[in-house]
Amino acid sequence: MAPLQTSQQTGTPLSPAELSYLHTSLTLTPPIRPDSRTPTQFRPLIAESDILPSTNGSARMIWGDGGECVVGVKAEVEKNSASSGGPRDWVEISVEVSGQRDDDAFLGMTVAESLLVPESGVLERLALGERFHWKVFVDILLLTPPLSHPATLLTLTTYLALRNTFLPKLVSEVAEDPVFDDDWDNALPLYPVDRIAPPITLLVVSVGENIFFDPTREELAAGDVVLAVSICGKKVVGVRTLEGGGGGVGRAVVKRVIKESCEVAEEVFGSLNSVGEGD
Amino acid sequence: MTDRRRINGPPEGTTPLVFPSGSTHKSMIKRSPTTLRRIFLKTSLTPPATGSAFLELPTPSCPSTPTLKLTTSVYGPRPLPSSTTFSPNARLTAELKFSPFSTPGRRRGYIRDGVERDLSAQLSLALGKSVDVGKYPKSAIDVFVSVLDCEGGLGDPNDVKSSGVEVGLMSVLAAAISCAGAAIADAGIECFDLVAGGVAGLIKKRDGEVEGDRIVADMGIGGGNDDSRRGGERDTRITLVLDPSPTEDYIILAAAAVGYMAARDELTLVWTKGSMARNCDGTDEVESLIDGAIAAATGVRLVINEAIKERLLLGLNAVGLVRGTAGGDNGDRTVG
Repeated sequence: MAPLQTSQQTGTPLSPAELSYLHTSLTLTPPIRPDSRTPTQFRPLIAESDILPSTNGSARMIWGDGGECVVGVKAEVEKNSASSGGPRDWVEISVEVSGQRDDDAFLGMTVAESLLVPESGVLERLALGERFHWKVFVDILLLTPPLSHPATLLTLTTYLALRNTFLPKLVSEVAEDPVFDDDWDNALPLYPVDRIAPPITLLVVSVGENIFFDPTREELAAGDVVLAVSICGKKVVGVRTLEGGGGGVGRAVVKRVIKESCEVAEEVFGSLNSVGEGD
Repeated sequence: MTDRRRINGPPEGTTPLVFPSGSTHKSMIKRSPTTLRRIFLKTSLTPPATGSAFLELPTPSCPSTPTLKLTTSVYGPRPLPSSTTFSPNARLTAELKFSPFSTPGRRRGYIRDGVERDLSAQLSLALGKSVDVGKYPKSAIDVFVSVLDCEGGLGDPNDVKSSGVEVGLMSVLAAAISCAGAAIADAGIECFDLVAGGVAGLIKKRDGEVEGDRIVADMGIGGGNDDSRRGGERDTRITLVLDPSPTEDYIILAAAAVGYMAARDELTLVWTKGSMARNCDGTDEVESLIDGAIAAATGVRLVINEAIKERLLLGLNAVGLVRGTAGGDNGDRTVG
């Protein structure tokens, strides 16, 4: 949210005439986007996983507009303590945006809110016997803040990193101190293939009757409403309104946006899961 | 042989004293799932501000039980400082602050934390879309919300509640939107419509066993408001509740907060938390939640209307334009 806000404080990137031109071309049927993409088409991006050897899982993504995101997931064994907040504290997410102050918690909150949805089953997999648990640190590094809102870039990279996170296999009994299998090949995935996958957040902008995915900054400025829809598996786990557009929207539009995001998310999950299979 | 030099405890042992903890949250009045809580809303209580409003949920019988109290003041439209660049529209900034004593138990610091900044951003978003910013070029409108008392936890990691979604932040945001909407109208700033906030939640009764799994097959809530009304009577384990209270004794599976402009039937803000399943034919749970939150916001809107009307009649009465019966009303409104 932060980069967009600073850009809007200095005024929208487009003049009123340009905005109205863009708005008209986006309301047409079929709509014409400035970069001639289809409404559900994403910008070309480069994604790779397992790039940091000293982490349990990592991923890197380079967006078409120059945004780059690196995510590293590290796990540590920690003793259960009664004083801490319980399983909620077992996952720690930090977002660092280059050129921004460290304490900017905006982006981290959106990720954490959707990642720590109850019933996703992650926290059960982090428990190690009765007295210990894994503590997972998800460090998100956002290099060169992208021109559009970074939520999609952030969560897609986090998804990729978490899907490639492996934790050493526990060989000790429940009541003992944890002892792990030496063989890294036996490590267990944090998110097994048959279980609920980590959530992703899609940025959706609605203009008139049309809905656009992966909007650029110009499209964000011209849109009626900008929604960030978090989807986990086939469930919607969070919807947030973001800066952009003016005036309210009817409830039918919001519902349609959420519905279409679910459909598009399935495609996105599919293509994300194929990352790394080629090489 | 007993030890005479020391004071020994009783030989058969004692039971430790147990003090009833002060924060036992009991729901005060049993209300049906579609009944909203009573709201007290009064405008123009802060004289120096251009517009102001105070919103309060009813004071509970037990004084230690937290309730929701917040006050809003609106300054503006006033000229932007000369250092800023030209802006053809008014710039609306909203700032939400929790008082240090607002949360039960833990004290909050004076420095704005992430939660407050997040809520402030969402609040300014919800309000900015209702104000006709094009009418006020080169000016700033500042909205300050201060939460005096806030019920329930705010999703802090130290909270004991382990399962379910925290709805405390959402009800604070919804109340802040309603209160700020009334304050903006009190300031006489031109709006497209008054904006009101509403919250709805899908809840599961806490009856003995608490497990994380949910039963989607039991979901009997359809798309419309009428269906959600019936949801209460159905023998389902998951119910749609309007205006859920974080202190009440149920697990909230998912919740939605909206900023809603009732006269235009438009949403300015949507915020949902918690996983909502999609039944075979679409995003049913999300839709029913949003519809429920809209229904709650429509109820709150009636209170805002009355509070503003009362203030306006009082003003006209003072000038002598209207000889109405606006005085003597304490502004207490009931909805639902």
